[in-house]
Amino acid sequence: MATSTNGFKVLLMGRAGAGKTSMKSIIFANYHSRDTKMLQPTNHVEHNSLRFLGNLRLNLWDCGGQDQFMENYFESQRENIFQHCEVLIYVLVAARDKNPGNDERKKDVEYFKDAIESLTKHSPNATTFVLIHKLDLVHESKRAEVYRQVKEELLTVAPERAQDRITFMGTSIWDDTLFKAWSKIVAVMVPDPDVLQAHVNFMCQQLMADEVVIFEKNTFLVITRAHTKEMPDQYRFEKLSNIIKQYKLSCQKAKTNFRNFVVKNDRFRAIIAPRCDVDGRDDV
Amino acid sequence: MEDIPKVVMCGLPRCGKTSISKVVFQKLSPHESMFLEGGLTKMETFSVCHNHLLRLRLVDFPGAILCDENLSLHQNDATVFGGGDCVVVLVIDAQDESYATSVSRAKKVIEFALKRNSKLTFDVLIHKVDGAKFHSEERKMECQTIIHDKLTEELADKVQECTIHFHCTSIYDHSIFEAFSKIVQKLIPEKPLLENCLQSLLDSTRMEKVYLFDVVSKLYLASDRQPVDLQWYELCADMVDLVIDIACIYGNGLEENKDAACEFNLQNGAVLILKEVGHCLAIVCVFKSDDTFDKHELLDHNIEVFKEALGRICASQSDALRGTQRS
Ligand SMILES: Nc1nc2c(ncn2[C@@H]2O[C@H](COP(=O)(O)OP(=O)(O)OP(=O)(O)O)[C@@H](O)[C@H]2O)c(=O)[nH]1
Ligand SMILES: Nc1nc2c(ncn2[C@@H]2O[C@H](COP(=O)(O)OP(=O)(O)O)[C@@H](O)[C@H]2O)c(=O)[nH]1
Ligand SMILES: [Mg+2]
Repeated sequence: MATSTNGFKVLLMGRAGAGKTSMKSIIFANYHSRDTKMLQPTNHVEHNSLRFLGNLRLNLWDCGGQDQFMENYFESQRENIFQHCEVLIYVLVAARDKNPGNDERKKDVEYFKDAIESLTKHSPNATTFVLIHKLDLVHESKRAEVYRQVKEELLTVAPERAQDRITFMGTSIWDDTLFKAWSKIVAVMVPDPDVLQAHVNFMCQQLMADEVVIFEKNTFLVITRAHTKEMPDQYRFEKLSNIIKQYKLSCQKAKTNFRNFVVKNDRFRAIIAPRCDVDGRDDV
Repeated sequence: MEDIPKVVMCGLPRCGKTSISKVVFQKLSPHESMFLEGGLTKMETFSVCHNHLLRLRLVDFPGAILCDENLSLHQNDATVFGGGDCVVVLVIDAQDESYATSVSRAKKVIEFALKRNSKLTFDVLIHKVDGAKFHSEERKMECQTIIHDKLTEELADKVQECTIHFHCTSIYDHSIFEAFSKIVQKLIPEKPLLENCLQSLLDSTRMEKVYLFDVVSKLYLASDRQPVDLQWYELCADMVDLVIDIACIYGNGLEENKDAACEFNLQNGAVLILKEVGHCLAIVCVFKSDDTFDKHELLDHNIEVFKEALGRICASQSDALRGTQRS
């Protein structure tokens, strides 16, 4: 996808308390999940300009979700907010406390409808991600059902031509789903993803590595990956990302950072190196 | 079983004894300690047996017993201080405003225990020094001084007879691991020997610092003779964590982590190197250099020498300790 010259505009929307600022803080500012309890409600729109993948500029618009702000976005601010936008991330809570199916959900749907219509009008090529969030509050046995219900409800109000530009994902800050979802989101921001994938495949073969993973340097989200062997652990990317992030934090405490490192034993060798941020695994 | 060294944890209820032993030896995350059930009334014991060097029995001494004015211990409970090597850890809750009760209890325990075993040594943990109240090092030191003075005053004549060390600790950072490292080191008879070996390893390769880690608990069992810098210890301990975590993903986890090695290049020019030297034992070295690190061969050779020495030390020890077992 093409990028506009002054950066990549990403809208983060949803009703108050949905968890927008929480996810932003976890992904981009290394917050621990429990620290999000201290976050204050966002006032109007909070702009963050982040460097991403080296020289890409990511303009994140965290739109405070209280009703008075929301109405404002769809009326006087509409053009300003929705134009030149590349990605809309709409966040809503999977299950509002106790009484389901009341006004709360209606408002979620109504605002979603407004948002997606405004987006289709002002940025017809934008991609939309809907995050059905706080799934941890829904009992495990009901998650799939709740997720499907919300998804259907939202799809019925979306304009037809926008429908295949919407991706739904279930998330929670308390497990790996958040990381997975954001890895998917940032993947659409990668310029020339096919070229990158080809490079990584080539690299993986040349190195005779079992696996090569490209992480983004600041967030440690997975950009792309290639492997020549099946890996047993399907959560390895989230784990790796977490492990490396943790160590980065330890280094920051000591007022330094790591350049690269190698971990191995008699079964494997993992190399983490900068610029390309590679993690390769070899059998020795 | 009797000759396994013991660590006895004493302190008032809710001062953090159980949290400490679970965080250090059972990988409990500090935040989960909030859900620990309190009100132990019976003594709880578990064995730690990670490798040849780190073998001990940890006794969680119920705080309720200490609340009893006369400290009238059951005969069985009293034996806890007797027999073999033993360290008594006295935990004092630093967030508890008045230290009077905890200090006078600590004094009682010391007197009581010394009567049973005059060779005992004591470690006072001034615990929970975290949060807003203890944001600065000065505050911690202040608190330590107060408790130190109070306790020595109360013990008056006894103080010459026993050794007491003081540590400020919290389960939310590395301080508890650092303090416990020093505690378990007292129970490793080969520690001076290991220290000599590490010191000569350091001298021959011009390292900044070197630690011998128990990789399961992240405690260091010995180090060279330079003073320990908490910052290096933290980075090294976190490195041990990282190596194990990655080995769990791509290797076969902790148990089969043979020939594990790890090398970190830091932006400040330091190089950290980890090498496995025995079952659940690893050496972590810190090098400070501004140019590229080129001592791999020298280091590998010297570590081989160290490994041999370690092998001999452990072999002679395991003869002495035959019959111990994992719990
Ligand atoms: N259980 C649970 N709580 C969450 C999750 N994500 C966020 N929260 C909590 O939800 C609360 C509100 O989060 P915020 O990020 O401030 O919400 P917001 O969407 O930015 O709200 P506004 O700024 O008012 O629009 C915080 O207390 C978070 O800790 C989740 O996945 N599960
Ligand atoms: N702030 C803080 N709280 C701690 C620390 N260590 C333990 N605690 C808390 O103290 C409480 C009592 O701990 P517990 O281990 O059950 O005490 P015990 O009765 O001595 O075994 C728990 O809620 C722990 O979370 C610490 O280092 N800092
Ligand atoms: Mg917010």
